[in-house]
Order: sequence, then structure tokens, then C-alpha cells
Amino acid sequence: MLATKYKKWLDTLNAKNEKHTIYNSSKGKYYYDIVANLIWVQAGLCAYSERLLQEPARFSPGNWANGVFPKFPFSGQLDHYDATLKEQYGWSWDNFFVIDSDINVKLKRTNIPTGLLKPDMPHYDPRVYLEYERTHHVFVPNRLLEFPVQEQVRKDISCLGINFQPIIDIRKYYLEPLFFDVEYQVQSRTQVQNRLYQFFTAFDLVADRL
Amino acid sequence: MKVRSITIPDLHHFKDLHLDLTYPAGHPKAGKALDKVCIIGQSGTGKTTLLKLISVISHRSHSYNEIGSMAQIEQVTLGFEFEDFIASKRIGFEDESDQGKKKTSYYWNTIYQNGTEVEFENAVSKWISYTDVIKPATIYFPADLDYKLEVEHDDLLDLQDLFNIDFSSYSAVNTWTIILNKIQKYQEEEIKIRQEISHIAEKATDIKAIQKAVKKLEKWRNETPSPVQDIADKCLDPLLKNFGLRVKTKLDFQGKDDIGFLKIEDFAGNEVPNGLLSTGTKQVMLSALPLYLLQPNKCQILYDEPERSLYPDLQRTIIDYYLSLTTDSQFFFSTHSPIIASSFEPWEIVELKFDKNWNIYRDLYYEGENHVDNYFVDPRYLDYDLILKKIFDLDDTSTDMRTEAIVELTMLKNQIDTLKEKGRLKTPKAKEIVTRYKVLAQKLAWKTE
Repeated sequence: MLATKYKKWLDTLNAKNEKHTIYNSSKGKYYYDIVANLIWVQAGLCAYSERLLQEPARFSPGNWANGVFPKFPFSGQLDHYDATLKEQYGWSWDNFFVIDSDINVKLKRTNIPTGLLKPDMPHYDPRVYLEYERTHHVFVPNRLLEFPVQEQVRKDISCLGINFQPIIDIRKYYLEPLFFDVEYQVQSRTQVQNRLYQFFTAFDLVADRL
Repeated sequence: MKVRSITIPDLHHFKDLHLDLTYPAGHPKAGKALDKVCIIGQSGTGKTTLLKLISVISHRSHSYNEIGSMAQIEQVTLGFEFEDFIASKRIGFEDESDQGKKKTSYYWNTIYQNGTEVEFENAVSKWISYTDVIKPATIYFPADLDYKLEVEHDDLLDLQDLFNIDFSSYSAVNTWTIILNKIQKYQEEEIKIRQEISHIAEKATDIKAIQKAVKKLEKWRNETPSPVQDIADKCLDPLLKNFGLRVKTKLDFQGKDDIGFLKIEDFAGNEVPNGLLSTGTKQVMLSALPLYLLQPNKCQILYDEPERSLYPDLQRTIIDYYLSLTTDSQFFFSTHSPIIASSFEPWEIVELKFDKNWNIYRDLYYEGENHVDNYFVDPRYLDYDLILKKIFDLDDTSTDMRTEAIVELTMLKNQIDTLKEKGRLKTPKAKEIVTRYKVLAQKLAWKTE
């Protein structure tokens, strides 16, 4: 945890079992600390779509001063994974993700996912829940899951905007040349992986089959 | 003349805008002015202003005050070519002594002939003799083309006399004067041959001589279609057939004042009153006819929103059709239509965009040197979905509903495959999934791959 001032404040609230102050996005005292910390731990990616939002290097531990990160330009958005917690526990660390702003504005909004695809769940492995359908460049539920679970995953895919149309286009444009290289041995899979900076899950799921 | 570039220092949202309108390196026409230009951009990016500005500076064809102040327009520089000259010019406004009106004149910059700088007088005299034989020099079709088809003979203009034809100032129905003249000449020719037959019949005792004269008339008729028949066959019927219509070629009139504009009929021969013709039909007639009748040569032709009221199938062909009616001319189209844009090479597209200060810039489709190999977008290779994305910058051409349906369909297909592997396709659950799959696939028009 790099945002130690925020962490200390949050721990105090939790210890006293107190409700949080109203969530007021970037006007919040620790907003940029939280965002900067998340960008670092999320490797600069949108937590749901894995699109690169911001170069993470700038937010490395060496750039923090006393657990605080100065205000900076930020084009993504801070999302409450479970929007129902926003009112009373709007500053919970476990409920925060940095995500693509279009996903948040156009799709996620107040939709509540089941939690199956929550990226920070212990032992979370997207391979268990997802397959990648390369023709349309969309994620679909893993066919090995029980059918009712597949339905749940499908709803979460929609809710989290993983297949948001503009993201699909960016993903396709980014990944297809790399798939070609691996398939026709222009580059090895390892070489591509070493240069990959976004859409890791989609790449792995397809590269397994190449 | 053909425009090679336009430089606008300061006009509304245009700030220090320079547009290169020549073919890029590596193109067979590299360095030459573009034959056709497609201007696209969000509403308010100045597409129509640019069209008018080009025609004003080229041939003083529009009233400048529709575009901007005199001070703003005087700064605009137009690069152009004619014959083997390359030059640039600006327009200037001077007071006319007595009435306080403004007189326009041109200021020429450096002039080259075959790459060598030449004397101003030499170039200008060439320019004058060049423009002397060009008529019309510009034809402008506004987006709100006047669809009136009623002819008032007393008010008709003779378009063939005009140097600049601006259909925002007068109706395109004025092309009727050209047809009338052609009809008159046709009738005069017919009368002349009929008179010959009469003379022969009066004098000849030889029936063969009369038959020969009659055959001459028949031959002339076969070889010389009436002007209306000619328009029908070569200009309008190929377009009107898309609407189930054709030009009525049987005309029953005595004098030219007896008829209105061209009459249109359905394939059963029922005349369709003008008032019942669709705007698409009128758009096609009034935009194609002037080109067909005037046969522009070395002309500058400007169309604002040529897609107006046209169904996609016609939009696909209309640009090539307009081009086929002219020779050595330069076209400028302003459009919002991806179908129209698909008719252009990437260097022929001028995409205007707002920058963060709401000034206009041209979005370039190449990186590095302006060379055909460096273009990363080419509408001729893209389907309409991709044209919307890559050229018109539409983020999501497919709806979220469609994407979600694709995901659901893939999931259902996987489930059906699983059930098939397990030999459980006949179970009620399997039938339910199969039904759900087929209903959804139907909604996706079975475009599932």
C-alpha cells in the first residue's frame, strides 16, 4: 500500500465501525492518492478491460512522499465495484478500481456484478471463467462452467464492460498483429509477452490455441 | 483550373489552416492537383464555407459576404494549376469610385511553367485566354437545392451564357433552356428534311425519288434521337429506373411554351405529376441534368451534401456517375455520408476536425512523408462499418445489444456442443437452449461468424 495516509484514515474509520464521509470523487482528500496507488498496482490498466490507461512507472513507490501523491491529470475513472456500498462506505479500498471512463459512464454505472470476475479476489484466475472468441474479439463464459454459472459470468462480462465496442476495436487492432506473429513464428510467444503492455488475458487465452 | 492548395490564416474557426490538395508521392499523378476532393467533418467544421471559399477565390463565383469579412477573405491564398502553369493568388477588394461598391481583383504570387518561374504578364495572358474558352468555370450545387420543377418561361436563364453557375442563387430547373434550344434545333432540322421531301414530291414524277427522300428522314430520325430521348437514354433513365420511373419521351406539344419541364412516367406509361415526385427523384434529376447538358470541361464542380434524399444504392454510384459526365474537371464534395466517402482515395479526403481550442485542423491519414505507402487508412479497402470507425471516428458502430447477443450466442453454441458430446441433445433442456439459440441467431441475421 503506497497511499499510507489514506490507509491510516480508513483503518481508523473501520476500527470505530464508522460510516465514511460522503464520496465526492476528485474533491475527496485522498482521491488522487487512491487513484495513483491503483494505477501502480493495476500496472496502468483498466481493471476490467485491461486496456492501458496510464503509464504506471510514474506512480512507483519512489515517486510518493509521506504516503501522498500530488494531484495529476487522469482520464480514467475511479469505480465502486459494488455501487451499493458507495453511500455509506464510499471510500473502501477493497471496492475501488481504476477503469476506463467510457466503461464507467456508458455501461457500469450502478450495475452490480456478482463478484465472480472481481480482479482482486484471492486466487482469481480469469481462465476459469472466461474464453476468448477471436472472430468477434469478445470474451465469453468458459464452456466448462456449469450452465447457470455461465449465465452469471455472461452478465458480469456485460456489467463490467469487458466487451465494450470501442475497447473491442482497440483490442483487435492491438492483438491481431501479435497473434499473426506468434502463429507464423515471426516472434515467439515469449518475445511477444515481453513486449505486451495491455490485454494480457485475451492474449494468453488465444496464444494457448495458436 | 484545378486547385492545388488553400491557405486560410484567419477565418472563423480556420486558423492558419493549410490544405494540400495534390496527389501524394508514389501516385501516378503525384504532384498534380486532385481530380476530386471529399470534405468531411462534424457539423460546424466549415465544410460548406470551404466549398464557397474555394469557388470565390477561384472564379469570384459567390458573394463573399456569405463567407466572411473582406479583410479575412483577402488573406486567403489559393494554389492552382492550369495547362502547364502552377501559381497562387489572393482576391482583393477595391473601392469603385462612384457608388461605394467594392470591385474585386486578383493578386498573383509566384508563377511557374514546367517548374520555371515565368513573367506575370505571360502567365496572366495565358490565364485570360484559358478562361475565355471555359464556360462554365464553376457549378455549385447547394445542400438545399431548389427542387422546383415548374418552368416559368419568361424568367428562364440561359445557363450556357454563364461563367459561374450557382444553384443556390437560381433554380436548377433553368437547365430547361438548354433542352428547349436543343428541341428547337431538332424540330428545325426535321422541318428542313420534311420540306425537302415536299419539294421532291411536288416536282418528281419518279416515286423512287420520293421514297429515297422519306428514307432519308427515317435514317435521320434513327441516327438523331430527339433531345428528350437522348436525355432519357444517356442521362436520367439509368438513374430513374431505381425509382421505377423513366422520362416520358412522347411529347405532344406544338410550341416550346406549351410544355413544362421534363415529364416523368412509371413503367406502365402513367405520367407522374411533379408534385408526386420524391425529393430523391428531383435531387437526381436536378443534379445530373446540368452536368449532362452543359458537358463541363476544365470546370470546378462543387456539391454540398450530394447524398441528400438518396438511398444507399444510389449513393454508391452517384460520384462516379457525376465524374463520367465531365472532362478534365475538378470536383469538391462536402458530405456526411460514409457511402459517398467510400468512392474516394484516402488522399482525396479532407477530414476537418476541431482541436482543443475549437479551431479546425485536417486529420491526416498518413505518417511521415506524404507518400501513398504511408497511408494507414484507405476507404476503398474498408467495409462501411470500418469507414464509420476509421474515417468518421464513430467509436461504436455495433450496438451494445449486438455485442451482448454475440456473447450470448457463443455461450449457447458452446452449451449445445457440450450437450451434443454428451449425447443429450434430445433432452428438454437442450431443446430449450437450441430454441433460444435460433431465435437469437435470427435476430442477428445469422451473421454469427
